Amino acid sequence: MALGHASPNFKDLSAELFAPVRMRFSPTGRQLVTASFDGTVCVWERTADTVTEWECYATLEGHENEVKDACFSASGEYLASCSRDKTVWIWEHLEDTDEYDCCSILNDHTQDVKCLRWHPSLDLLASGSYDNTICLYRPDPDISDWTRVAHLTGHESTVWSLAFNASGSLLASASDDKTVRIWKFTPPEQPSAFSGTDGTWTCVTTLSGFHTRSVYSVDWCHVTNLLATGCGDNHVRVFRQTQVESASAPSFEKVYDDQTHTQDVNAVLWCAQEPAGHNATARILLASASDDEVITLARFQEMGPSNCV
Amino acid sequence: MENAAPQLHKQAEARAPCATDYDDDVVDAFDAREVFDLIRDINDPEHPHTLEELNVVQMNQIDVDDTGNAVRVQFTPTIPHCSMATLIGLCIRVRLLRSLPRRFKVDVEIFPGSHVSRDQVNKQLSDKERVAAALENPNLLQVVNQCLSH
Repeated sequence: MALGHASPNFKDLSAELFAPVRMRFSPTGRQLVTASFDGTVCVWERTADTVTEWECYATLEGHENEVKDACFSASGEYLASCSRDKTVWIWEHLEDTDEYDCCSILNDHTQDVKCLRWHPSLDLLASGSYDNTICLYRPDPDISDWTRVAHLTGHESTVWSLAFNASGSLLASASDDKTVRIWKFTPPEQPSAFSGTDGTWTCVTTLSGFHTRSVYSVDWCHVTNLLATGCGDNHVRVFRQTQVESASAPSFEKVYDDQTHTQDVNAVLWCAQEPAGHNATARILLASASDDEVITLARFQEMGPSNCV
Repeated sequence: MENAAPQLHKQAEARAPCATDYDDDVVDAFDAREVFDLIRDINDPEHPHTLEELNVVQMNQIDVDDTGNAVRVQFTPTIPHCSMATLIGLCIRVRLLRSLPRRFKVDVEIFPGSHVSRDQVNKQLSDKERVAAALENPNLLQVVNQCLSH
């Protein structure tokens, strides 16, 4: 996903970056964070109301080697990064100085940390690793640090990608073991200040038999609730949840299967806009990026794909 | 050196010429022999011998599905605790990466039962980020290129 893919109308940041591997926008869209193979994280800010002016205003150094992923929390207050050095770093945005300060280094994984994803509304971070496990963390005011609140085991190989549903009650994980697992959150029986984050996560569904090679990417559309995957077998697939969320074991059916890519699909990402009015329909696009150096866009309606762009 | 006097094996005969070799209208499908010819001459990182001479690669441990775009190479380290297994696998992967059309999905694995860390090595060799990172390392890339040179 090099920035060099951008059309000439957009600013090409690639000359200023060393092999960026992953990038995400902030909730406001005014900032962009890029993770790089050189061990740094860069935060870019849009300096004008056009999309062409971007400035690198913070370079976060500390990881020993390749940074695999970096992303902003829903509040925009925190930034998280992870690396082949087995650590997850949490960076806090300081309002007064407009700087990012490392507030925690988490050493819970025993191998490369491949991916990160924030809860859609809470300060709850999930990480996936080459050690086949997923960790979840939240801030702990008692120790002024971050703490691990869950450790999810079950995948038989590397966890490549994670995605929450819109409410944050379900977490999807994509793995080298050719499956996608769905984990469901159950709040603790004793309510506390941390009831939203400190319950248990249980694997309630495993999507197996659909993917024939490593699943590299998963993304959950927060408007349609459709789940998309990108796979090493060149396919982009979309699954629809067939039971309501309250069901103890949600089930999924495959509603879309596209193999126009000719090589591994490394990333899938939804772009969804809520309907503008009563009779309007939501505008849903699914983007996929592949080793074949092609990005495809597919347009979806609420219930399924309409046509490819 | 872990295995000072490895056993050497007879090399395969050269592929017999075929009447249609120079006929542009005849399509030759990729087969195990073609993949074997690509990797048989790779030099062992430790010994002055090729992977074929050491029986690390054998033609009957190569599976090619030309229409299904799949290649699987299984290799057998000379000793079960060979510390060079990952490097040998990396050399095979790089040679195939550089030689085969990109439509092929390539799996390079250790032959079952022939190495104590088989699962770990296989996992490393199938992780494309780790393979890419290894090749970013100039020293390692130099070693790989030496193994791949004639």
